[in-house]
Order: sequence, then C-alpha cells, then structure tokens
Amino acid sequence: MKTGRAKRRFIQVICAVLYNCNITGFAKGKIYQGKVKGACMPGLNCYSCPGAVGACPLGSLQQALVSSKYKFNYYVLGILLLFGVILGRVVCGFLCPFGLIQELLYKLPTKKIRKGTWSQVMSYLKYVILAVLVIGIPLAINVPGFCKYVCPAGTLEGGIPLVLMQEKLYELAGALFTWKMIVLIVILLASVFIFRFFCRFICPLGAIYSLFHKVSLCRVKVDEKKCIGCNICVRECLMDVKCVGDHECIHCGECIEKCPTGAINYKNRMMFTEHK
Amino acid sequence: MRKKYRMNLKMIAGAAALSITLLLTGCGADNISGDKEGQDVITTAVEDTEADAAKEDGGNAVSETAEDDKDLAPDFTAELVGGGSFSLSENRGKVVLINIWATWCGPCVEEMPAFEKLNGEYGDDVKIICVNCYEDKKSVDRFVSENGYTFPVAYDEDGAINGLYPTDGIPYTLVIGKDGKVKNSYVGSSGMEEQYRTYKAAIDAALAE
Amino acid sequence: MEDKAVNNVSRSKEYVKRFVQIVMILAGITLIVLGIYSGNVTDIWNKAVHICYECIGIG
Repeated sequence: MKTGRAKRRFIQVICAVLYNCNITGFAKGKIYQGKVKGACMPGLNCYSCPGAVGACPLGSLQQALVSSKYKFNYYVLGILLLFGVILGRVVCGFLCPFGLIQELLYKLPTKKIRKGTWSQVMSYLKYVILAVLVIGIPLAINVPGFCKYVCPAGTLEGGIPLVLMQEKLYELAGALFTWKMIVLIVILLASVFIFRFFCRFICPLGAIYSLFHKVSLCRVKVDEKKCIGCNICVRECLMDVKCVGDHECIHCGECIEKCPTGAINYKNRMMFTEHK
Repeated sequence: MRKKYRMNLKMIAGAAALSITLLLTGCGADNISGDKEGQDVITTAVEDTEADAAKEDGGNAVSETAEDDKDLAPDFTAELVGGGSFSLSENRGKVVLINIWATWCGPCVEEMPAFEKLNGEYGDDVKIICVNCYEDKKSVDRFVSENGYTFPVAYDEDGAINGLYPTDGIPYTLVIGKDGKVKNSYVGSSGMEEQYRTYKAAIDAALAE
Repeated sequence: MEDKAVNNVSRSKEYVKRFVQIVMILAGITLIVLGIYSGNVTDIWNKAVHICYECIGIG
C-alpha cells in the first residue's frame, strides 16, 4: 500500500513550499519582511532564506537565550512545548524541509551504510549539540552557536542565495562562511549514504522534539493485542529505534506497511488516513 | 477506490490552499516592498554617485525645500540617549555616518569601539550617529551605560527612522556626504579594526569632496 | 487477579500521561499568549527581518 508514503511526501513538499513561498525574495535576493515572520514554523527553516515567511524555532530559541538576561521569551518556549506535545517528532517526519532534502538525497542509487551500534551511539550526539551549541554558547558568550557554526539549513537556504545575489555579502563572506560550506557539503554527502544523517546525529530541534516521545498526541503506535513480537518493524526501520515510537522514531509510517499482522497504526486518526 | 478518491480530494484541496497562499503572500510581499520607498532612494543615491543615473522619488522626507532633493538621504530627527536630538537636515554640509545596530547583534556590538575612536578624531565636520533598531529605550540605555560609549546613540522604538533606511541585515552603515547624498553603504562587520579602516577611508573621501 | 493488577497499573499510567499532556498543552498556550502580550513575537520578527549576518554564518 503505497498511498501512505505518497501522502507523507506530498505533505513534506507542501510544507517546504509553504515555509518558503516568498518567491519574489528569490527573484530579488532580499528576505521577506512582513509581520508574519514573527511566527515560528515547526520545522528547521532558516529565516535568512529569501523565500522564508516564518521564523525558525531553533534560531529563535538561541536568540532568546542570548537576550534572556534581560527579557525572557515565553513565546518560543510555548511554541516548542505545543509543537512537542501535539506533534513531537511527527514534525521531523512530515513538516521539516531539511528532512525532506535528506530523504531525497538518500534516494540516489548508491551503496548504503546501514545502522548499527555505531549509529545508536552517535544518535546521542544531537543531545550534546543541543546542550552545548543551542543552550550553552548563547548563554555563555551571547552568540547563537548552532546557527552561526553548524546549521546546514541556514547555509543552504539562506547563506548561499544571499551571498550569491548580494554583492556586499559576497565580500563579507570569509573564513566562517567557508567553514559552514564545508559542514553543509559533508552533511549533504553523508545523507546520500546514511539515511537522515543530520536528523539522526546532529539536529538539536529533533533532539528537543524527541523529548516528548512519551506524551506526544500524534504518533505511530503498536496494538499490543495484534503484535506477535517478530521485531520486523524495528529491524526494517531506517532510524535508530529500539521500539516503535521511541525517541528516535520520526513517525514516517514505513513500519506500518512492513508489519505482517497490521498491528501498527497512527494514533491520532484525524490527522492521517487509515492504513488498515 | 474510496481511498484513492479521498486522497485525490485532499490533493486538490491541498493544491488549492497552496495556490491561494502563494497568491496572497506574493501580493503581500509586493505591498511591503512598495512601502519601502526609502530603499529606492538609498540604492539609487549610491548608484547616482557612481554612474549619474536617472532620479527616483524621495522618501518620507520631513523637509523638502531644496529643488534637487530627489536623491538625498531621507531626513529624520532622532532622540539621543542622554537627551538632545539629532536632525539630519541640520547637519547638511557635514559628513554624516549613520549606523543601524541592535544590542543582540554581535557584529554590531563588536564594531562599536571603531565609532568611539572615529568620533574623537574629527571635529565638527563629521557627525556619527548610531540609530538603534526597534529596541526599547531601557535596553539601549542599559547597553550604552554598561559600555560607556560617548558617541551619539539614538533610539528608534517605533522604527520610523529604520523605515527610511530599510535593510535586510545589520549592522548597516551609511556615509552621507556634505551634499546630503549617500556616498557609501555597508552591511555586516569584518571586525573592529577593518571596519575602522573602511569607515575612516569613506569619511576622508567624503570630506575631500 | 494478575491481569487486573496489570490493567490498573497501565490505566493509571494512561491517566498520568493524559494529565501531563493537558498540562503541557495549557502551559504551551499560556506561554504563547503571554509571549504575544510581552512583545516576544515582535522581538522575533525584528531578528528575522534585520539579519545579523555573522549570526547565520556569513562572515
């Protein structure tokens, strides 16, 4: 039954287009400056992208921490809490443009590097990055650490278009921009061979949403009565899950189709079509 | 068959929603850029000084008495930290350096010692004014007192001045010549030392005219 | 008897989960509304439309 996958892909593409629908921005090389840009979108999408019409929650969080000494940003916290409890890592599976990009890159026909103990261990790196670059550095030295030094979404969607289309920025770009280009290329290349390389090992936003895995309203769930314990779901899953719906699960629904007894389904049906 | 029908309907609904959103945002974006008349003045003014091109309509100028004021830097009156005010038109005949900055912007903060240095080097011929970007007065006051800067810093809580000098990014610095036209504009900062050299060169060039 | 005990445990787990979900949703909405009134959305807008280039890696 391929309709589930097609539907998810459709939603991913719609989201990517909606987040970045300011086409005039791409044409002129200028960012969107309307009032809507104060609102945070759920997925990773840099507000420096000329097409972006909303703010990135991770970038906003870091900036909020930079300014936190004087003014607390309740809004960002509320947004992350609400998205987390309602959607959790469903954002990763459905509503993140950079997740889509990685999945499309993985489709390239090459030999793939499968998950293993190494990837299980590596999957904890994103929590370290969250603690150090997203929380620690902004609080300590007033710099949005992840945005500045790592974020490939920012480089790909914002840095590159702006530097190419604005002469002054071309002159401004120096060692830091070179470093970010290297980080971007490594991540994009790795995503061809390793499924969702960035999502699994680096993305701090995914790390944040993963903290909600036990309580998120929308998720993939196993019907214990139908489950025969064959573990095909965990084996076939491309993420580093130990069981369906744990903190590594992005709720893409691939396991639903793999389950021999049809024991898996989306929990909150109003958001998804049935897969019986 | 029913599932396919359901999916088709949803696809059509999704595509319709998407098209409408695109249309609305496209129109919205145009309106925003239409409001930013000041942008045309700045870009054209810089191009004018380099290529003597045609003139555009001026921005929300406070006083439009001169005849060829079409590509002058838009006039404004700013309230300064510590009292007093700064009016651009009153400083015609002097070289003015306008800097748009914010307390949360690392590079802006980093290049400020350059302005402190420049402020002390020239006499009354050069005016430096750092206009804050949309922040509340308390934050600006706190920043200035914590750092002990003495050069003119202006508030712009409602963004009236920022609206005259629209920019995608900060720090945004303009050097305005004695004739009131924009000679150079810069975005971003490559560090205090290099910015100091760049601004000094621009000011010296504008003074020499 | 054992089944009943297990059911009770899982039911109370469900209640705790429901409670946490409701608290989080309410807290989220409250924080968002509080944030809007505090001008947080304008703060984010300000940083999203006047980009500190070095903060996003252009430098």
